[in-house]
Amino acid sequence: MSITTVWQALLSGLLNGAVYGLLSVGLTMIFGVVKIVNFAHGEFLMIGMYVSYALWAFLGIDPLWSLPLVMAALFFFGMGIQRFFIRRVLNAPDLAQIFLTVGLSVLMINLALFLFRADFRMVKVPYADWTFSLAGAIVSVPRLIACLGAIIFSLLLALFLLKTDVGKAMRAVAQDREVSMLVGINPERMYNLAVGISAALAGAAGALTMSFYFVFPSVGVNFVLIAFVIVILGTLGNIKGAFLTSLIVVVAESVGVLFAGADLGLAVVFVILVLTLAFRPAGLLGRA
Amino acid sequence: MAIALPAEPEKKQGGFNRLGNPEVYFPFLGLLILFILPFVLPIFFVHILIMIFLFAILGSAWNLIGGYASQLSLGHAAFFGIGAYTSTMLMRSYGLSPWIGMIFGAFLAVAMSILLGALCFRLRGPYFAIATIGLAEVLRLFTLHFRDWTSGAIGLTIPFKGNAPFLFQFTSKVPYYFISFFFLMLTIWVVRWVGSSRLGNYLLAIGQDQDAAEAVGIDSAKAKRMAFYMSSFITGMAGTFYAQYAYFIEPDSVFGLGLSIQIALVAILGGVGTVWGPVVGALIIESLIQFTQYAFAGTIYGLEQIVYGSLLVVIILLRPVGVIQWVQNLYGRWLRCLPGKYAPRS
Amino acid sequence: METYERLLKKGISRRQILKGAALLGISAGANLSFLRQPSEAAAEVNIGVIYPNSGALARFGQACVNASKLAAEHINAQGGIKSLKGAKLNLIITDCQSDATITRNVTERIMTTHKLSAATGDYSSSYTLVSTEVAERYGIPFITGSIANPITARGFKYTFQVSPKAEMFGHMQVDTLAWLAKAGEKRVAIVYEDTAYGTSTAKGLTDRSKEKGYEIVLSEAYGTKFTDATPLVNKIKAAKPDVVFPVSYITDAILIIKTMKQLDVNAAIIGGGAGYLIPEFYNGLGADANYVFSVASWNFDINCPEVTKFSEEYEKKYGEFLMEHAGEAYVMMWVIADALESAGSTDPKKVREALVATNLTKGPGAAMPGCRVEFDAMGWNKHVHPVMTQWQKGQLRTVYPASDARLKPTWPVPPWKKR
Repeated sequence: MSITTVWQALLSGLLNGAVYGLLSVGLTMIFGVVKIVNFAHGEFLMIGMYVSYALWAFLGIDPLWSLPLVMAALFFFGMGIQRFFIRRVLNAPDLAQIFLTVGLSVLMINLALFLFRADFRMVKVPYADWTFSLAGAIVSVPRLIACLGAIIFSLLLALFLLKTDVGKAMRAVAQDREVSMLVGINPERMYNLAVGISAALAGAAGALTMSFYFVFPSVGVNFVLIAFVIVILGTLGNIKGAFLTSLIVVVAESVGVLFAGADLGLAVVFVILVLTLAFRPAGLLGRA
Repeated sequence: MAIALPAEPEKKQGGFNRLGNPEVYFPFLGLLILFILPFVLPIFFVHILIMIFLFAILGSAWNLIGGYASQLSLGHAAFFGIGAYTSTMLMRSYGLSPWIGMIFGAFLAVAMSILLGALCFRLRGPYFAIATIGLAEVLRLFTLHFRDWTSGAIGLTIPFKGNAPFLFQFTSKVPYYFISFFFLMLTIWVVRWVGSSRLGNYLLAIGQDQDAAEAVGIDSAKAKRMAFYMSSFITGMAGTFYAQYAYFIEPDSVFGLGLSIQIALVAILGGVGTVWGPVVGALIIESLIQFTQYAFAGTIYGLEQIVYGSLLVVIILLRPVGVIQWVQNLYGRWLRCLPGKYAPRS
Repeated sequence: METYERLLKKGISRRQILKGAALLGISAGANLSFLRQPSEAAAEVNIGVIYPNSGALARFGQACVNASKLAAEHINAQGGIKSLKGAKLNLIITDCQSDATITRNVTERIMTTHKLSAATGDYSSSYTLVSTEVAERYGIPFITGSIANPITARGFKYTFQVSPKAEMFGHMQVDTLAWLAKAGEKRVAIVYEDTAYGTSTAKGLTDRSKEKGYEIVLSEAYGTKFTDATPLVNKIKAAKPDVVFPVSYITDAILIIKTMKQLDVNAAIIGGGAGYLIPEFYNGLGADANYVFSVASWNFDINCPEVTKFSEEYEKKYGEFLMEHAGEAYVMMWVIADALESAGSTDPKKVREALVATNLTKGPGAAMPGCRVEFDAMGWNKHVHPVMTQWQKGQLRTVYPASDARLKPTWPVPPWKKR
């Protein structure tokens, strides 16, 4: 096991971690603001990928250029899901909320299967095979671009939440809904926005991966389980935590594969999860 | 499909008058019908009923911790799989009867729940849920990985020995029907007993507001542990039953996340924290699954899952707390229509 | 204790009763609907077709269903089953949804609600093990193209397998290396996806590699759902193999090859089937797919009668070449038709006897490598062997053994940077 091998594992973990980060910050934001665990989050990613693919297949637009369109489409879609489905169970028991999103997930995956068939589709971009070497490890350019895109969007989200009035209003609702109503904030609007933005970010994460991965109806499932581990570990509702934990978790998996075996990488992640929670029940950044 | 609510003797009605009360005699009638059914129905219906009983058992066991104590477990398949694999491996390696293997499996499942409790009982809500998912997944991945012991993905087949009651094998479905039915009655009895006991009260209090419960002196850790042990024990036994019924197990089908979700769904759809909720939930969900598979599976890919998913969403939107109340109201109305002197208990 | 009952006690309302009744009504109706048997015309033979048409393996399952349908069309077009007065094949197709429990349900259902004379499926060995067990219990002959050893090792009377056994694939992969190797290649890496298919094939690879004295520098199972092959290929690279034997499904196969190119791992690749044999492999990799070998249980260019004809018809109808298992699905339908002809009856017992006596050397029913279908006492087609294919100029061609080869293999494989 040479140092280059370990470095390669670290580096690829970091690059992929950022993309998971983008997916996870949206998921954790939904929980923070709307207080619901969205099991259908992976499907936002999947829809983003299909939209991106369709724009490429029919109009020849590179996934990077069509990103704003994808995000806009997912934004409205997310708002729709919130308005028509999630809103109705906000006062229901947690269990019902979770299972609503589970049902929505099943529905969306199979609608995609029905509409697009089971085929695995890929986008062909000219830079798909470009690589360069960084201190002995190989970096794939499409993955690097995805990583940078993920970091940029996550930073934009942070800026939005910290510096804009709307963002601050959203954080207020997340902190204390009743009090925020007293100062004139409309929580309904904030919920819509939160889900819309999360969906847009998830769609962006999907579109960013189109240059090196495939789209198929159940692609969200491959991503969402790790995303859940990440948001829990990073403390639900904590955006910073979600992003940082993404890097930690994906690097752990990558390195875990090296030492424990390629079929146990995920197991390593879960063991870390359970052990961490045993000592920090509210996640890494939570108050016990 | 009759729902047999066992009746308690009504003290206000004397002697033979009781028999005239539909609430008393109908459950007996229902039980009689259920006893006859496996002999008259086509085989596939018997299979569906067995599946309904199995999920009713699993949902009820889940209910003890997920319903009464409100600890959402999405990893109950862990206990199911432990039961299935333990009895099967013991039988294949040592010829041990699965009846005994079932007890071993159940105790191992409890051991796992002890471990889970030690690590996870401080966790709340979604944190606990994801931790349970993690546990079941780790077990699944380990079972896949250590293939020299468990045969990994290839799975384990129960050696076919024909009709062998002592080895928990029957050529006809009827014995499986009665075993699962009896098992279900036992489980319901346990749930009712817990529900009306002090433990049950404690669990409900914890489920509503754990901090408040602890403030009045309830030992929440102990209560949750008891519930968990019972829940995992029953679930482990159900795993053995499944292995003996299906003759083939592999990591995905007994440890899978889909199974855990279905177990929880059965209880939630029916009504958590109620005795009959999971039974009704199992009835509805299994029927839904079978129906959508039958009617739509074929040339239009994905259609049956679309219908299934849509129905789930609709039901949850319409009735997030579970459908048991509707069904019980319906039952009460039905009883009123029957001949006899109807005198409700409450 | 009825928590929510107490919290929401509203008294009996008509609406609630109606809703409850509706739900129970749907459940009852759902179950009773099975009693309504679809009308099965007298001049028809029912054949069960069970494949994953949704879920992870949908891509393969759908192709197999298409091929089965095409075969049934051809069989019916040439007069159906003549010994049954021209009875037509009626396929009862069901989706096992890439899930073992659902496989059991759907197999139970079609076998108890239809009068099947035979059945076929399920693509993946995990599901085939389940379906054949149900079929054995109901006495329905089941013909499969799956490969895991337990399928024919259980002493079942109603299970018939036309395809090679799992370890034969691994053996063939290693034997090909022995046949090709001229420069003393000794280091082999075995990576395999962790379902029944991958692990059975890997066992064959491991045993044969040891026999032939190769050094196994890496033997690693992996989960197919990874989104980045870099961790795995990183390990492969560190092990410095001369040859890699990967056993993969679709996305993993493509990602592994791509990443091997990115990380400049210059080992020859002799794949284990499945993902290495489908159109997407070439579509996804383009020229990078060339030079990759893969073992296959069937290919559209093997040296058997009529293969070219029906392969071309499939390609014309469905727009892609006839892939491995789909080709087998086509062949199996003809094997069933042949058994029905000899049996002269739709009784599954008689069909089974006819299958036991099957000895096909002509026609599409014999179109497995070896060109002969005859089942041994355990139900296995004892004349079949896998073939080795290689992607050359975007075409998947058979290169070994000589009896089936249409083209010579390209060896040694040029390094990535020199292509």
